[in-house]
Amino acid sequence: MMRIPMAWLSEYVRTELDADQLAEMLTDLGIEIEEIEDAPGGLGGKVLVAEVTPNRGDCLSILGMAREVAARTGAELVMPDLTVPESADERIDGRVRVGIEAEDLCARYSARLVLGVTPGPSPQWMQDKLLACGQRPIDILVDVTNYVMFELGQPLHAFDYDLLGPNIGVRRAREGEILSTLDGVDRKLTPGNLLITDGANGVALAGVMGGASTAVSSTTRNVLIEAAHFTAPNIRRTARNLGLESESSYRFARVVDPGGTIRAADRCAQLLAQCAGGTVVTGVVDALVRPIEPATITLRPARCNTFLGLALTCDEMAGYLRALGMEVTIIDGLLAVEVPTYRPDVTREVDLIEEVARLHGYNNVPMTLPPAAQRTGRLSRAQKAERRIRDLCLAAGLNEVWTFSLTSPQAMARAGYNQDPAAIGAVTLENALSTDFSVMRWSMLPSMLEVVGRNMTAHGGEVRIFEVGRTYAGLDPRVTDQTAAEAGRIATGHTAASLPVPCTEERTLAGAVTGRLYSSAWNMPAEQLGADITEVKGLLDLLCGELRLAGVTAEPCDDPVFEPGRSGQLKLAGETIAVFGEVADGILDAYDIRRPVVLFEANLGRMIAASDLSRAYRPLPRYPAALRDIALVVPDEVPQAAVEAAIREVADNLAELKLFDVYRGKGLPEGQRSLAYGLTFRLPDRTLTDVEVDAAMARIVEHAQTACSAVLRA
Amino acid sequence: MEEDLRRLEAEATALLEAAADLRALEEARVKVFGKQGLVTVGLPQMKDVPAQLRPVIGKLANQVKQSVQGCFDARLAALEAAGKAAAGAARRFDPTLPGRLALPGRKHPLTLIWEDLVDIFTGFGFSVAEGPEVELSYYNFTALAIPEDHPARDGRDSFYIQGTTVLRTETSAVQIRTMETQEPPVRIIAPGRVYRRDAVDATHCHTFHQCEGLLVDRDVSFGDLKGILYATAQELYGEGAIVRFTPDYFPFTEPSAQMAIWYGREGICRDPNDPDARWLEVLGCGMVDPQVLANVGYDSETYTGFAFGVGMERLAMLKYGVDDIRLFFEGDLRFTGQF
Repeated sequence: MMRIPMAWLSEYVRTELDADQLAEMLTDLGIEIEEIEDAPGGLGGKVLVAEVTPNRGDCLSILGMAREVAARTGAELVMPDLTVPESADERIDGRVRVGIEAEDLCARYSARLVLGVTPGPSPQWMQDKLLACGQRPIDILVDVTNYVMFELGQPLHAFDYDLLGPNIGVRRAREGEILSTLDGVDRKLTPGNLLITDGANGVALAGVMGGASTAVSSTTRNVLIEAAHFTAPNIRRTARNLGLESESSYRFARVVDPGGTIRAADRCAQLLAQCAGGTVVTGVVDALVRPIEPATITLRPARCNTFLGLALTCDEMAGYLRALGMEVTIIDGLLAVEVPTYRPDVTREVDLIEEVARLHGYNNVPMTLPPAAQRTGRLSRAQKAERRIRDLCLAAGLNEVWTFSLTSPQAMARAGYNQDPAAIGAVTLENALSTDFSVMRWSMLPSMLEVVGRNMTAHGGEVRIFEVGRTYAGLDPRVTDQTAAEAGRIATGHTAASLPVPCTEERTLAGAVTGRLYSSAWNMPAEQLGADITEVKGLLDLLCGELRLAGVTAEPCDDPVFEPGRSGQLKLAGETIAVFGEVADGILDAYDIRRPVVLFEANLGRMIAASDLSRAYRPLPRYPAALRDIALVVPDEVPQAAVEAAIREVADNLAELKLFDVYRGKGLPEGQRSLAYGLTFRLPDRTLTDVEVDAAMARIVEHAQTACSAVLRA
Repeated sequence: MEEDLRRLEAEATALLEAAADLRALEEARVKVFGKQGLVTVGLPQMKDVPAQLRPVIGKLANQVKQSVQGCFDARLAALEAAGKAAAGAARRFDPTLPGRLALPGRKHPLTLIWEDLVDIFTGFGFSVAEGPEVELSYYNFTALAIPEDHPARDGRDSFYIQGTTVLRTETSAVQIRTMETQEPPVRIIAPGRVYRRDAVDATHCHTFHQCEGLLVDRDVSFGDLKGILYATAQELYGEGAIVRFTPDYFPFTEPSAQMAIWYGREGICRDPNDPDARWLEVLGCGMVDPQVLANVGYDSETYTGFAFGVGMERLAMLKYGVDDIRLFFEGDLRFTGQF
């Protein structure tokens, strides 16, 4: 967040634009103005509040903003007066020695010395500007460093020179080294933190906060101004880890101009002389790890135009870049561009292309459509199957929900899924934000129960829901970035499926039903309205049928979420592909649900893998069918599927079989039930005779008796 | 004789007309047409009629017979119709009664957005790609040119599982998985679930959904990116939706942009001069950084491309005027039933 008082901005660039127009212009340049406020205090005018993207550290100053305005409007950029009234008698030589030890973290350290300052409040004009920038004025010695930071973008630090002494070191902190910072807190440091020292002991946390031992105060007379260039990531980490994010660390974290340290030190010294009555010692100490020079990049105008979809001339491109302060030479139709040090984000040709686009205006790039595709866009087989499955669930009257994949072991256990997450390779977060969202679900049924419970509480109405989502398990710790880096080069001819994935994410369907299928069913008996386990089984049967899954078997299921003896599972080639059943009473209680709920969950991944979505026409029957009914009495323990299988085994020319009644009770022995089937016999090429069908029926009765102790019901 | 016939006709007609219902009509029919009925016995036998009168009397007798039969038929039809009407009144359907309907299932609003995007982009020749949500930081960060020290990699912003495994923070990871396994040209969208370490409130959530788009081909330009996103906005929000593009920053695109939509009190605003409307950010996009193309082994001089990533909750909130992101995940049927 960067606050731009328009009154201050106008010192460096003249513009006729009002606040709204300026805001729109800056936003169009990529500096999004989020708010426009009235300037507090005596400054007057408006303050633009800008959100600056992390690559544009150069815009975190009034001068930087003025540069952008000047580039777009063509107005002249007026630099502040940077002349320093140096003392003829006092020279810096021998008074300040800087030694940079951590050269990777500090590229430059510049310093100036101002003697004989008088601490006290800063002048009103300075206080007004600071306030408008959101900075509370403190004292001239501190305010002046902040002022220059806001003006030029270079964070500064003022040491009490008499407490600091002549030596300045820049090194990594030692493990456990303590620094007492300005705010009075003793901070325990690590080698990840960069320290400014007096040659031996720490005196400031580089770029983040000064130390208490060398802080300026009302008794300070002589001030050393630090204007340094620290490496962005290090400052960002230190500030974050210690919770010390400040205007200074904010700027260092976004890269400041390494070429601007002396200019900032000069400006600060000049203002101290002007406002605090100091005497500026002649000379600047400037410790430089390596020379800081502008980079030169070549821009190919043809590449730029193709990339953007524009037809600009070399001169137009050069004009835009020059407006940003870049030196451009056109040689043989190519642009040689010297990028000033305040734009360290511009390092490649494509970065220059972005600058051209920005200055030209994104909204002035004509809209076109890409070259025509050489093939149609498509959904994968699995995606098509998923669409079909979703449609079928909707047709069955289930409402789609989307629930979180993140849950907790406690929430899973509430539905009876109390496995040890580690044992099943569940995906557990190292840095969960809350215990409620700490693990990725390995079943979607707990989420379904939560949704049912919430709806019951909210409106108590019908709840018929489903979700197509993912479940997560089988985390493989051997799959790492290393695996990815080794696997992933196009030349090796991998397929998307063969690139490493850290865990098994299974496409899953889950749902819950409770309540009525019909709206306003005023003329239907209540018992025909409710959802029950057969309805859910019917939906699963439908899905298996639509996917043309061959060889699906059903058997009881012992999943603890279900009431014992009131559930089932579907298997395909020995693997469970779906479970369904009535929720156990104890679990309903846990969710405070006061009516029966039927749940189901299906492994769509497996089902789709085995599916056949192709369709082919079969001729319609040309000869009439023979219809027969049969009722067989079997012991309860014989599953229906066994009876059905027995019939199918011997029934020649059976075109269709449908169970139409299950009866238990009066007229039948205890422990037995009657299963009644309607059978349709048909031949493709002629009409069956009664004799043939009678023979088939006789074989069925006989075989059913041997195969599953079935007796023809009298 | 003639008079006898006229009298007979009048009597029979009176009998039939007097029948008030079908049963009375049946009784009247017996009295008129029965064995002893008026017509049966009353009409003269031709042998009894003098020869010279036969043509006249015969014709008249026929007329009377037809007239009485006609009267009976008309009476029968009238009484039957009256009976039907009376029965119908009892079983008349009241069209204002509520109908009975198996309650239809409804798609989730995010599915609607998902399908909108799939429909739009398959139309542009994009295929739909997917990738894992539990992702390696190589795909989620490194190959996308996000530096090691970038804040997005920080444990404050991203969920970590162990070591280099994260919950993906954007669907951009699918870009890399696709490009590492496919030679250009590439046209994909990748809708899916992503995670950020955000506390839940009306506008933030640890879980949300993005749709990534990626096109890499010869001569793809920034103008093409603008064109395709403009067309998408028109399709999603209706003709006349106003969008603008402004510079933004993402590590894996250059130039980077954001697209905003003109939004008023009533939602998407088609009047550029509406004083109450403002720009709302919709998505981030840009030209694929040549470094990213190089990372996956593409020749970044021959091929250029664009990418975009759009928050699907954001699209849905703008399209339907939803003001709380949590509603998408609570499963309250009073919410999902509205779409």
